[in-house]
Amino acid sequence: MKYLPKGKKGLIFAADFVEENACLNCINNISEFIDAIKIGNLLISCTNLDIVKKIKEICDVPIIGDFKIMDISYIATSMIKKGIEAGLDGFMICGVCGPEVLSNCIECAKDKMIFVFTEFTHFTGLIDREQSNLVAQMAKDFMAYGIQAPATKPDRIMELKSIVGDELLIISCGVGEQGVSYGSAISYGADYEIVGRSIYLSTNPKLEAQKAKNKIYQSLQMNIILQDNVAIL
Amino acid sequence: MDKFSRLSKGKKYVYALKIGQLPILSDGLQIIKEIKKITDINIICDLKLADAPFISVEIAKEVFAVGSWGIVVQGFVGGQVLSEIISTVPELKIFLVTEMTHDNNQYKGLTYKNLKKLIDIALNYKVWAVIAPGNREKRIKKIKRRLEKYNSDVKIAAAGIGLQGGNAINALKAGSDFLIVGRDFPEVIQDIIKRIPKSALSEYIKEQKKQRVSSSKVKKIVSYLAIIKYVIEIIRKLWGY
Repeated sequence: MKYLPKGKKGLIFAADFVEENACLNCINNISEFIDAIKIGNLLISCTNLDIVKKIKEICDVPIIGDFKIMDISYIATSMIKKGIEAGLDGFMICGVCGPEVLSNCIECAKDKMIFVFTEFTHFTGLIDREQSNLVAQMAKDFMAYGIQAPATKPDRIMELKSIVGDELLIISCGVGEQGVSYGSAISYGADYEIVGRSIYLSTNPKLEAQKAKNKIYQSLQMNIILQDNVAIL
Repeated sequence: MDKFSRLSKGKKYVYALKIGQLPILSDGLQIIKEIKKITDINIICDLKLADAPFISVEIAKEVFAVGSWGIVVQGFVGGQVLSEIISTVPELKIFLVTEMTHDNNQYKGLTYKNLKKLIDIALNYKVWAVIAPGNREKRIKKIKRRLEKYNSDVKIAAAGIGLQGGNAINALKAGSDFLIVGRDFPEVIQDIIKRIPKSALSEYIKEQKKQRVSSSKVKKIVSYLAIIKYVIEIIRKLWGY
């Protein structure tokens, strides 16, 4: 059983590949710098759930299945069962599917991590602030493991953090290629940054992953210094 | 793959086959390729697409590359995702989910509240069909009225028929063009048959005989699919829409 530790900050690699070997090679290359791996519909569509075991053979970190589960309870929980059989350590559930599906998924997942997707990184999605806040509150009420918040909207990270507090992890997507610099989401209250394209499309993924990890730590150090200064003032 | 081979015999009766996330988790999109080898039934890939534009487009490209005819996209992803999918793979028919069958005001209505916006997105981007909750006829009627107001040819596919409480005939009467039926296919069809006049069913059996297709020679599922197609035609005649 693997968990993304609470109380720490770090890097989640979004393995959005269309080819198995490219995926495994890249993960093998960057494994020392990543704290978890997130696999989504793109990779699973182009391979299948067997990829989970293959990744686990080369990289000993938790793997989160981000299939944006957004279905009725019967299908949603069936997907979780399949994912558990395949060795996944966590799942992403779209919060807008509502409390019934979320509670059933949490019950079905047992000791696996459930993250609740709050809102999109792009600005044309229809999940508004009110819905997103409601989803965050719901995640807290049902004691999900964490929520996903958009790094592209720092104000939203802060507001969502004010709702879920320190009890739930905030993992933040949209870092890197979508224009957000490494460490930014952490500085606004996220716990882990999700980075994909800017690492796997880089000419040197290992160097890029190292750079992302270092920036995250620098951001964390900066936060601690700022907090100390505020305390002194 | 045997479970799909019988579908090839029923292809003239079936409009499309919706393949969801469960089989794709096990077999990847290869399953669609395999089904395409057996039959040329239209395949709708239902990953309930709900990703940022870049990933959504990458998924849509892969979905199309394996021979899918359509793709299911969650409406709340908004217009940008639709626009980018349409410009990249214009041949792929988009089925836009307006709201979930289980979601209503009782569950805080998280997908319920955007219906008007979503129909407008469907109209603006000329999606092929919207997926509406078959267990809430009022919502289907609302969608139908708005689509008709703009003289749109966007179709309505009703999900949630059967176990989730949707009634096939009521969903069709409310304005659905297609029914999406899965787990409880036989029960739904039996329920429909109970509600249509015996004379209409006799006519169907006569037609079958004319075509020299004995129901004993076709697989059970093919018969069901033939019946559902015929029943929809009867219902349309009876209720005049």
